[in-house]
Amino acid sequence: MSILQKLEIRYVIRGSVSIIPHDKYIEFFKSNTRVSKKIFVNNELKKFISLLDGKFTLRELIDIHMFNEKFILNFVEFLESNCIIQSIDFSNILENHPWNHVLNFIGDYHPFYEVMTKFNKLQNARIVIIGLGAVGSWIAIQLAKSGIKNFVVIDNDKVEESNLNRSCFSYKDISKYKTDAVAELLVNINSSITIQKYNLSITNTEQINQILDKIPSTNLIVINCADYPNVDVMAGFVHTSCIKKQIPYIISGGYNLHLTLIGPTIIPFKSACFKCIQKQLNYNDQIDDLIKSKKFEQSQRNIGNIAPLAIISSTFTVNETIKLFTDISPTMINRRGSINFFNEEVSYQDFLKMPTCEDCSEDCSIDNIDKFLEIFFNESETVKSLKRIDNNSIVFDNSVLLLKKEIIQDLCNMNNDISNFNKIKCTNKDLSLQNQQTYEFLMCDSFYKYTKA
Amino acid sequence: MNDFYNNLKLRDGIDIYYNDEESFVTFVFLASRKRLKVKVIHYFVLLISKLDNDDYLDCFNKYIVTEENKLKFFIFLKYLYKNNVLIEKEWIDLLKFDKEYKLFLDRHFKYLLDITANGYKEVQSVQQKIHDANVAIIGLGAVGGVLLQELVMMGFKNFILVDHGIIDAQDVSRNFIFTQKNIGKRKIDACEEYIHTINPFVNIKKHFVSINTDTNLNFLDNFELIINSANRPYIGYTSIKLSRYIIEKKNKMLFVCGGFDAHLASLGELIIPGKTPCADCYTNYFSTALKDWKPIKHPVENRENVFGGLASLNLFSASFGAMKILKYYLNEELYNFGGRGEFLFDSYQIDKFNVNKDPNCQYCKNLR
Repeated sequence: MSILQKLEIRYVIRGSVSIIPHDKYIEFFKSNTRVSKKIFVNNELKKFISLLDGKFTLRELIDIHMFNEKFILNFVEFLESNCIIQSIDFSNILENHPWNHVLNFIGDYHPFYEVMTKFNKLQNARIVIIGLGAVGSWIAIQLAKSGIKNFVVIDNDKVEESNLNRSCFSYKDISKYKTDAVAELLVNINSSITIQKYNLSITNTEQINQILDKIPSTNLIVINCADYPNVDVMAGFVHTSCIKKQIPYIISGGYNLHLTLIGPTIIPFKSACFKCIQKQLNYNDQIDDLIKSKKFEQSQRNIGNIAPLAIISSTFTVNETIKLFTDISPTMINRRGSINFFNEEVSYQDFLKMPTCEDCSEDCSIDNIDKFLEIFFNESETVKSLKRIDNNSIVFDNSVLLLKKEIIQDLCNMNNDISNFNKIKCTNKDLSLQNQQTYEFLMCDSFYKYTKA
Repeated sequence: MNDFYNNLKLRDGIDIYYNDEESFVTFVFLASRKRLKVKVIHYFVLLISKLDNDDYLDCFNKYIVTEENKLKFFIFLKYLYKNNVLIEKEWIDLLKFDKEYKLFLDRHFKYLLDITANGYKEVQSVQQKIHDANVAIIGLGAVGGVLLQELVMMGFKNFILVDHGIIDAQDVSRNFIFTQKNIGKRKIDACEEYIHTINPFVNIKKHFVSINTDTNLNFLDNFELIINSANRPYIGYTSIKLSRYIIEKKNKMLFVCGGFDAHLASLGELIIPGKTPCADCYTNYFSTALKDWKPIKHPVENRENVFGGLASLNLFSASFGAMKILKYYLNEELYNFGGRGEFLFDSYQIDKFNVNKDPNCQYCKNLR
């Protein structure tokens, strides 16, 4: 927008922003998102703020009150980019807009002149949902209620009476395909919604590939809510397909009794992928004393489920999807979380995008070997199962010695590029599987520090 | 003795791990993450895992040959039953509720079994309270409507719906329950219709009224759980009126919902007179806490449609409320303190803080 255009705007403080004057500063509180912006202002700016009621153009305010034009223009730009003010014309558009609650919300993140564009992007997002159980069905509905218009839904099941205590179906939906029942609900929310339905049971990656091949790959996301035979297997199929096609995907968390799980959002090649996370999870789990025990196969069981937990789980995926398509940074990148209902605590676990990941690693070349090794040896001191012996070797578990020259040899085998770790399979035949992993993680940590230095 | 033990099975919410080297089994309770370790021979555990299978008898006859072993096995079964690893196969049939009710709530009962980690009799007692509860919901907006639905989905059956609103186009995009076809209807009528499609056996009374300072609340006399989700008048004022009412009437509790305009992701609080702060305690607390935080009059005069929100935030707030209410029915002792919280959209954290009963509160200070 040019200066001349700005001067003709009648600015107003956004309705959802509260203004709290303090002794020495003014606080703007964005009530939608509970975020405060506090700024020091002089009397001129205080007066200016009090005049932002949308009745006068900027030029008129400057002329009438003899403000310093340049100063005020800078301040206006600040207020716009911090989502504190908007034009009165925009307010009027929002007033009776059917989606004004979503637009007002997006307005907390983007200056008013960008809000419609972001919302259009959201509306035109393409959502693929695999699994329309308790979590998947609620995700579909919430996204429809947020303005999204294009859905692809995949599920082979029909609605049963025992679904009704937690899915969004009703008695009249019993015996219908879940895809049909959800399609009906979505169209009732917004008649311009288009839905493609697949009454399929996903049992391999190829099926997902075929479905995705038929959809334009821009503005696309795949959401996994299926858990047959288990979440990891299904997530693996989704991952393999999406990582190759570079489509963002969300492993929607589920819920397990008093814990609601919050799954990761994965942006291929930008964030930790499903495999990166699995690797780190498996590594961390090994401290359990159950590791020496074998798990008994148990026949298909029906773990109890209730609506509030399923719904809470679904809201996270919905929030992430909306963030992704309105250019707000997603929160579940490189992490997973869980909410414990008994103490109402949320906790998160962070993960690395593994430079050695088989599926999503990119060139991680090391130009300065000496510098890398220095960092490597320093990092080794932070690992419990390792001991550093001067600058030339480390010892795993007090028993296996790894010499500097062996490490250098490993790096050479990888062509000084640790993304080749898995291809070369840095096997030192004396290292146990666990130590192998520790070695790999140490390489990864060192590499991150190396790139930051 | 045989009949009883042949009628047991492993509970669904339990994983079994066996350590061959040291010959012990670990039962992991998925709900509480608790573990039960028992030193026992492998084939006893194999049998346990097969209790509900067709080939159980064959397996039993294969491994249990001597009378001595049989006795040992039954002792093991008894021990596991006492420790809630095993349950009667048809325990849901043993619950005293209507067949339809049990079919609808099949997974819900299984959830309760695992979360209470006890026998089916505790599930019966918890659910009986839910089944018999009389619930009033004031305000059937975005949060009230969904909370109503979730309570129905957990087996609450008796409601009175209180609201003075007629559905318009704005309501349709904001609410879950209302569709285009409902425009022009009273909110309480549309809700009743909708709820009956989810569970036709729910009893719904309706009261078309808005709660003001002089409204007579005697229509709430027969309802022990009162839920306030009304946006208008200001929820702070209606909550005070309702809180003083329940203190006077006794044996009632009030859930004040979160999720209203300008505080969409707030989580609500349960008010149990004598145990938690009452609405007046909360008001006093906040007038002190916020005494230096007073927004000035906003330049925009009509701020009806200026607030932002997402369906997901409404649902989060309603669902959190439903869990709070469920927790009360699971264990009343969980609530002897108060507090508020809100869900932060940026970081997905729950920001919460405790609020204590005001010892000088003229309304509730004399309650035990």
